[in-house]
Amino acid sequence: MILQILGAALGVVGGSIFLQAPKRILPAAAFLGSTGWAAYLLAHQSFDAITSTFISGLVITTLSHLLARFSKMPVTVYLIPGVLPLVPGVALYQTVAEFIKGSYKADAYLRETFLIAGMIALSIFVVDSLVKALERYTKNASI
Amino acid sequence: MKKVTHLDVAMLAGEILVQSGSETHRVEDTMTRILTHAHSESTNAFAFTTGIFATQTEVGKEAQTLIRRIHTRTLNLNAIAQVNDISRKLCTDVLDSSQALEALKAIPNQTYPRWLHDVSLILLISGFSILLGGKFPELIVTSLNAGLLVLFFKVTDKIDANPFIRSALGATLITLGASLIQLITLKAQTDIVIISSMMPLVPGVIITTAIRDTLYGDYMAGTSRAVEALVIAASVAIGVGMGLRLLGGLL
Repeated sequence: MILQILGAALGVVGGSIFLQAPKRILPAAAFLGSTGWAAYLLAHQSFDAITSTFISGLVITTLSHLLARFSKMPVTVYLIPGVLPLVPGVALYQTVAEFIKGSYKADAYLRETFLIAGMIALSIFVVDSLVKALERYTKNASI
Repeated sequence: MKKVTHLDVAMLAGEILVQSGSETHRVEDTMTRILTHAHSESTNAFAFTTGIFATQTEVGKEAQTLIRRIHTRTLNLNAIAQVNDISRKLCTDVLDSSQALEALKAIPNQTYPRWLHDVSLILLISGFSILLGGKFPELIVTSLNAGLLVLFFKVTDKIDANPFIRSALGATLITLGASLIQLITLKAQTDIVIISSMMPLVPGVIITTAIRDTLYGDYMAGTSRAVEALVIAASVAIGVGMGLRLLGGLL
């Protein structure tokens, strides 16, 4: 498992460079990638892939918001490399592989692909909305 | 010389953001912030994934509207960060509008040298093979396969290939590569090798952004992006499928 988490850090740093991320976020990206994947693996011990993706997405988005605040950079810059390990590549491949075999399982994998992608987006949206609500609340409280 | 208005700055900022793959919500927000800073009577900014519009009415003048069509989109996080920084500086009066326009024009296309970009692809792919639970044999085969993909990208960039064909052929290549390399070398799990090699082709970021756009109420941008993601995913799927079929015939 530790090896897998290190792999996530490596993959996310590679992905960040591939996506032309600013140089100074690379250490943070490695941290985000490994933490996010650790959260996924831990959650996956008791939940299915879809729920684990949601939980890991919440962790990654929350950390991205904190890092963005800290470094005065847009949240997206952290978020996009951070969620890379969650991208439903496995489910997409299984869909194609089963489809080629002519197996009915392809439908189930296709649904899983969409649900995982949806869960990534939903977890981002939940945290974004909470942060926005919190900002409004603190602004009103100070006036 | 024509005076640089906030409208010009907002349009260029919006264009760079859309081209860099930013979510629509952020594009409109940034454009509106820049336009509002000009103390105009009313402003409106509207963004799609394929074009942007902005209208500004200055006090005592007629309304001005600009449209810009956007054809190409890639992902460039550094550009998003820099546009954000420049718009922040403009709105706190550190920069005036002509300085901001110059700064926006100076944003580089490439943050990293070409070779590092190639190496990053190999890093990304081999990192994913470990992440998916691959061991030493998978790592070796995947890295070789990644090298193959880097070469393929170099060729397609040179001939400026159609993106659909590019990802389909790329996916076929990595599927064939994964199995052939393994035939002559080691016993590795082909699944892991193929999945990690197709990571740079899969439109994961686009799908996520599409759903985010939709949840924010940007339905037009969300659906057009979703279609884009589906087309890319379909081409990758077709490519992998062709590869697997070919292998089925060969082996």
